[in-house]
Amino acid sequence: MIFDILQYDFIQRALIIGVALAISAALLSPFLVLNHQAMIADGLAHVSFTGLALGILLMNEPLIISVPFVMIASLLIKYLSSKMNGDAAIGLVSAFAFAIGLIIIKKGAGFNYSIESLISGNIFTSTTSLMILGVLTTVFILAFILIFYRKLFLMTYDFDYAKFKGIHVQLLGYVLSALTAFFIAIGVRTIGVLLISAFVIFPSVISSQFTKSFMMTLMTGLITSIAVTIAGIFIAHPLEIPVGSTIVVLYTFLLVIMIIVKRFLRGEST
Amino acid sequence: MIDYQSVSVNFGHFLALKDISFHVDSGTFLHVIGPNGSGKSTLMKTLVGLLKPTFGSITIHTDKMGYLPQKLETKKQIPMTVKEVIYSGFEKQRLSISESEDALIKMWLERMEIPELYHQSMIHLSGGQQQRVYLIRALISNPELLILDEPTSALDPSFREKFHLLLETLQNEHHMTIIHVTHDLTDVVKKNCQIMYVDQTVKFFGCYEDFHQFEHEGHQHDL
Repeated sequence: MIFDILQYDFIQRALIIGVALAISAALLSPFLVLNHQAMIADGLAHVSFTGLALGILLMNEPLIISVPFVMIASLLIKYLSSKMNGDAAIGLVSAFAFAIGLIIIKKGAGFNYSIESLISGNIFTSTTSLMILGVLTTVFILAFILIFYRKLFLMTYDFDYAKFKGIHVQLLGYVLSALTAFFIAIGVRTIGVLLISAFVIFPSVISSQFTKSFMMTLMTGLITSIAVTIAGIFIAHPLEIPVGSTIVVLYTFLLVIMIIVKRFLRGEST
Repeated sequence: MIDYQSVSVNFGHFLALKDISFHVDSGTFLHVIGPNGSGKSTLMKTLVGLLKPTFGSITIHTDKMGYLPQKLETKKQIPMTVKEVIYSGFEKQRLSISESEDALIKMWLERMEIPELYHQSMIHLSGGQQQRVYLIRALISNPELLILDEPTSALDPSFREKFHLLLETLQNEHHMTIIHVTHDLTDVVKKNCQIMYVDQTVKFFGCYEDFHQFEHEGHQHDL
């Protein structure tokens, strides 16, 4: 039965873009989550709501507006984070952008797009161009992480020492933010505004329950992310429920099981 | 090796360091002392480039530096192994660690008497064990200039002595310049070392014998 539905184009596209997003999210995950920057993904998702609303209003392909829009916001958040608390910077930029988005939707002439579809996204209506963009995002993120892995690791666990070692911490930080923005802008189209940040947060939180090393945390997160996303698509389709929500529920079950198993193992060893 | 000329650091209206000038020759073992809040760590931050001086100029004639910060980042619960942390101190790093690099890491762990920690996660180490790991991170690139900001604060006394012997060896064999911030001079003073007493400005700079004289003159009251 699984092989039957694989012949549909929209399922193939959903799987390709789903796996691409799963890989991107898991690669970004440890460098954001373990560096107390998990909420940047959430903030940028709110920003991309407005980016998409603007894009839908102004042209046929909303991503042409929303991708640069979210990237600029990510750089602004990064810049403000050096002036104030990072959480506050995310909150300020995302609230302002979201407010503008709601005004645009209310007042924008001829805005006939359903807000629900913006908020929950739909992976099965992904276009080929969105799929190509999704794969491209993954390629960029993969290249960036592979090339700068050691530097990013040092920045994550000891920012001052990275600076001392002469690593261009500001530049790498901005690129990491911009790539996160790229991922979020694409992800919001398929997974939705409210759930895309979970894709970034869950992989590291789940894998760090059991891993000892940073590299293993990244790799385990990657495998978990791909497996959960594929399972989510196959479960959501026949049940006709949103894919994003299914994936987040699966992630949550997995995390709860991990925590219980960890408790149990620790309890036995003491 | 190091030249400070009229260096001042202000944080807003607060003057942390005032008109600091000194010169350190290559191969010197310099102990930096001073009361709490005297600006020792601020001085070290200007030395390692984490803080730009408000006024004055700093010249350092090497880019091969090792640094052990006073405050170690231990609040983040990041899964990472001792091996990963030490490798981040290497000059050139690759995605996968080579056998010779691996052997060097193991050699240093032996030297610091913690070979069993090789595969351990940093989260499970004691403060003293973590400090030894960060010391290896500072030393493994074989720096010409080593900056240690209270390195022995978390080390147990028995290892502290061995650690000072190790520093002496490094200074003699590799002609390493060592800047050592400390609270307690008693167990560290060796022949030919230099002492700098800092309290917002350089109150004393010279050899240990002269410092003794300076202390007896009651420098604490000259504010």
